[in-house]
Parts: sequence; structure tokens; C-alpha cells
Amino acid sequence: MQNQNLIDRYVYAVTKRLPESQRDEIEKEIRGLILDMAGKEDPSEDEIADILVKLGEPTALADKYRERKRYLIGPEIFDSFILVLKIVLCSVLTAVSIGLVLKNIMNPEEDLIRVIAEFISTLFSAAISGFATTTIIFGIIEAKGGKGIKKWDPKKLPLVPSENKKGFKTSSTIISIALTGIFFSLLLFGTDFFAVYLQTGSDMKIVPLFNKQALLGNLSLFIILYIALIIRESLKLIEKGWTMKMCIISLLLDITSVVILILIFTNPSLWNQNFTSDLNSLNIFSTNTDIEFIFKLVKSLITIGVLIGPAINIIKAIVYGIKNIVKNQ
Amino acid sequence: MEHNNELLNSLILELRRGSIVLGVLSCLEKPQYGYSLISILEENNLLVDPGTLYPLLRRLEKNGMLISRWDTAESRPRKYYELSVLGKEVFNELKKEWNSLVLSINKLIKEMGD
Repeated sequence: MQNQNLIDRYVYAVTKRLPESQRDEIEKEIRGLILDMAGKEDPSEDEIADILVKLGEPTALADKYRERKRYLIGPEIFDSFILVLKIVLCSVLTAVSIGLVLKNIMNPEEDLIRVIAEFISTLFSAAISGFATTTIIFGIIEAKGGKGIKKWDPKKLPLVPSENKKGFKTSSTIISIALTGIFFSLLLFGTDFFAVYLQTGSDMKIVPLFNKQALLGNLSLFIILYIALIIRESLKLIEKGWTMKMCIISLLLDITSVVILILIFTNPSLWNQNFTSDLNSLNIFSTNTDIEFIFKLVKSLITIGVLIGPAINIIKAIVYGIKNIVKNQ
Repeated sequence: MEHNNELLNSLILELRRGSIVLGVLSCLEKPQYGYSLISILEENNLLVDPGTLYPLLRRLEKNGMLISRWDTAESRPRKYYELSVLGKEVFNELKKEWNSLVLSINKLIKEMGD
């Protein structure tokens, strides 16, 4: 009984890791093999144990039966995955810290323990979503990249950049992901930070630029923008140059980003609609100061500012895309 | 020395890995089951780990080089493998390749390596 159990357990440990269609046959095979190796029909438990040691660990044996190794994220893109993960987690840490510090400057919280508890719980959930997002993106890249036997085409090698820079720089990836993360979190959690501060007598008047509710209402769009950025930057690390694939995906992602950004920032309700009247009511500017014009200028500058990154990438993708096409003809 | 042994062992393992297929194919003109195959190979000083051989047999069958049938006449069912027509053709080509490889390597070792 005891002997039977050891074999049963070994066979089960191997076959549960194999495709269902092959389990029965492989089970019969392994059972037969163990008895063949024992040289008798009724080996003792010690004899069985010796044989199982010779056969090796169930996972290793199952791996040998399973030909192709299965990965969520394979060795080829693993290094890039770890790098992007580190960057994302670092920006999450920075963003949550900045957000909470700003929040507490604006609305001081008495209870320090509550502040720390909020910090930890926010950090935890943000880190988990960051980790999940990055893993899903790389899982999709792995699944798409590994399908079928790709014929290697020298024509698809990335172009050597004409300037003195070689390919994509890791530092540019770190800077884009980190800065965007910090900027978005400042915008969402520290909305009041973007404001005009005026000292009137002993009073500090704060006139915010944005409408906080409207900004927070766009939270999901900001998350989509951030994910698009992480996808683009991860691909840069993997492709290591402007391949045709990189150009097309980058173009799609950045056009989407530009559209979303324009939708968010040209929406009048995003901005503090009382900005002009609030400032005018303070009566500290001379009547010929055109506050409305200055406000418009600030709005345009911020909108252009957020569009610059993806716009530059669109131009690069188009230029390198054309170069790829020309080279291949 | 220990490090050298490790290196040597891994190189030997690599060298054997490719030749095992030839060893196995040579034995399968007549049907054999997994463990009888191990015994034959062992008698000829070719030690093969069953954990390697069994999956290899399945792979060769999947590639169409072997055909198999379960023999249930004996006390315990056993899966017998045998060369298929394709297997015989491939084996013949492999034999030629092996012979020319052995010739080249031996010649190289004799002329340059000694």
C-alpha cells in the first residue's frame, strides 16, 4: 500500500504538469519504467525511493517531456522587464510621496499615524497596480513575439542612428517614465500646487489654475496615457532601435496620447473657470492688466508642454519609418 | 581540478546529447520498449538516463521517425517502438553524416591536435 503510494505520488507530480492529452500514456510509461528498473513486480519502498531519485525531480522530468519551456516573460525580454519594473515602482514611490506631502501641506492632518497608514496603503495599492500593469504589458509582448517560427529578415534590423547617439538610451526611458509619473501625480494629487499665490496683507490668497474635480474625473485617461508611455518605452528597450515595428507601434500609441491629451486639456471645465474673476476681485492688479490674456497664455503653454513629448516621438517615428521604407527598396 | 572536471563533464554531456539519437535509432530496427533499449545501450557502454530517453522516444515518434504499439500480452503493458519508413531514411542519412564527421574529426586530431 505504502509502496503504491510513493509511485502514485511521483507519477501524479509529473503528469499534472503535462498536457491532459498525454497524461494517461506517460503515466503508464513511467509506471512500467519504475517496475522495469526495479526488476521485480513488488519492490520495497526503499527500492522505489532509490529509483525515483535516479529518475530525478518530477518538475525536471516533466520539463523534459514538455519540449518547449513556457514563460510568462521569457529570458530575452526579462532584463528589460526588470528595468521597466524598477522605474515604474520608483516613480510610484516618488509620486505617492509627493502627492501625500502636498496633500498634507494643503490640508494638514493632525494624526501622524493616520498619515503614515494612508501612505502605506496608497503606496501598496499603487505599487501592485504598477507591477500588474508592467507584467501584463510584457506578457503580451512575450506572447506576440514568440508566436510561430519567425524567419529572420536582415532588412528588419534597426537603422543605426545617423547622429552620434547609438540607438535608444536607457536613461531617456528612465527620465520619461519617472518625470511623467511625477508630473501626473503632482497634477492629480497636488492640484492646488498649480496656483497663483498672492500675499494680501497678512492673508495668503491662493487662486488655483485647475478645477480639481474635473482633473480627478480624468483619472482613467491619465492612467491610459501612462500605460501607453510605459508600453512605448518598454518596446524601445526591447527593440533597441527604430525598427519598422517600433515606428508603427510608437506612432499609434503617441497619436492616441496626443488625442487624449488634447481632449483633456482643451476642455474648458478642466481649468478654474473663476480664475479671472477671482484674481480681479482681489483688486491688486491695475485695470489695464489683461488677466484673461495671461490666463489663456498659461493654458496654451501648459497644453503645448504636455504635447511636446508625444509630438517629438510622432515626428521621430515618421522620419525613421520613411527611412526604413526607403532603405528596404 | 574540480572546476576542470565540471567543465569536462558538461562538455562530455553535450557531445553525447547529439549522439544518443544515433544510438537509439541503431537499436530500433527491431521493436524495443524503453527499458530494454536502456539495457542494450548500457551493454554497449552508452549510459542513457531514462528521464532523457523516454521523452526522446516520444519526440521521435511525434516527428514520424518511430512507430509505437502497446503490447498488453505480457504481465504489464509495454510500449514498443520501432523505426518507421521515414525513420529508416533519416537514420541512413544520419549514419553518413556521422561517419564523415568521425573521419574529419579524427583526421584533424591526428594531424593537428597531437
